[in-house]
Amino acid sequence: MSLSRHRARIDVLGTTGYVLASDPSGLAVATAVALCEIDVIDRTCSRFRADSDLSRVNGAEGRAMSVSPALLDAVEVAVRAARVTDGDVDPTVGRALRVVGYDRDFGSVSADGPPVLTVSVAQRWADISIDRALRTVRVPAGVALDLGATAKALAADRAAFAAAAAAGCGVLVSLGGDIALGGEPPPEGWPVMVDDRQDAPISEQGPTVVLRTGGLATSSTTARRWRRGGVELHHLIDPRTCRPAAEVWRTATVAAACCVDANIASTAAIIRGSAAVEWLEGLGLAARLVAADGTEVRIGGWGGAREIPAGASTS
Amino acid sequence: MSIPGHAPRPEKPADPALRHFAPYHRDAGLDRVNRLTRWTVAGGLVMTGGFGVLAAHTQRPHHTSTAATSPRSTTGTTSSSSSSSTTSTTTAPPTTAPSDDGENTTTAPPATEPPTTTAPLRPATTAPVTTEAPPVVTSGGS
Repeated sequence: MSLSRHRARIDVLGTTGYVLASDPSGLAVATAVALCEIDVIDRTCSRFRADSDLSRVNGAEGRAMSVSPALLDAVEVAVRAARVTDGDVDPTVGRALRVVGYDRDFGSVSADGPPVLTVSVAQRWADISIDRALRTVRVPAGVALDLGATAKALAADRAAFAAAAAAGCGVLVSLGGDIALGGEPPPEGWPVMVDDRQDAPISEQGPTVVLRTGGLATSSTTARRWRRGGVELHHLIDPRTCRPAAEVWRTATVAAACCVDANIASTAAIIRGSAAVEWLEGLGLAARLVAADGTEVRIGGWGGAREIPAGASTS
Repeated sequence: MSIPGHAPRPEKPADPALRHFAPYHRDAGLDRVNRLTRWTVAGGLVMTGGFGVLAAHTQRPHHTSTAATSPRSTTGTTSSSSSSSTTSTTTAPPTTAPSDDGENTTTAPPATEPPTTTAPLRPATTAPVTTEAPPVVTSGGS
């Protein structure tokens, strides 16, 4: 039986997701457990929910706030992301995102609007305080966290792990294109199509790879775009400029030991520009980068020879 | 006052002479059995829930506040500009080893839980392989 029949669609975290089970009898349990795990992250890590722990931390004006274990985990993951990417994936870009127009669920963001100002409040990730013993998080006054880059991947990892344990079979959880695997994979593995956009129609003609462990994530400047003052913007913010990153790569897909690591690397690749190739190779990560002109570069065993697009420039 | 669904406790006869009356002792005994049964059922439910939570926790990788001692663990410190810091140990994920014929043999497949430490990014144990199989999902920007 085709694996695609063992699939449940879930609309969560402002995006479309799927839960797949290698054993069809485990799909209902896997989906229920995955939804519970995802809901925990949504209730704690959304900057668009006034009742979330993250909103309370962002509104605390520099005071330490008591938070749930889930937010502690999510902030730790975000700080780690900043540390291992030398600040490329920075959770303190929350205010910059708001200023450039991404200030509500993306479905409600105006497609066009007046020009935006530039703010310089980012690169403050080293000033985030996490106290595990007291279960508190503190961010500097005037700084707002955005956990979007890593919280979705964290939710996928947690959901896949818990769902596989509960269902007793292999589980794939996809949240907006961020994919985490749990449990024993099916004998043929999990075939996954890679595209610029997660909502691209599934096609046997598209580039497809088999996954068996870990996670896969794709970051792309082709999704979540809007205009302000006639300028096209996207959601991947370069913390050094507090503006959308230069589009050397339009899409970066990375495979790693877990979805969080894959997401950190794919986001950092977009921010880093052409310097991402050497960085990913140094880490031994398998990746597929697509330049703004469509040129494809494969790295770290993804297959194919390394090619640097002629038009790529160092960011 | 009687509670719906609960039989009223038998009242003690006012006349001391009737306290040895057999129906009273029978009703009082049944009442005790009834209460014992209810407490047994309630206790059983509580213990079932407790064991369920315990079992769920044993399924998760351990995340403790001690330094790593195993080569399969990654350790780091989440630091900040303040005095707050955390040292943690995250159990390394299971691996998939390639077999001789190039196919992947899954050795210990449970899911990977992301590290909440300063551990470097970890590559997948097997790189994605191109396939002609029909895809089940898409990984793309969203």
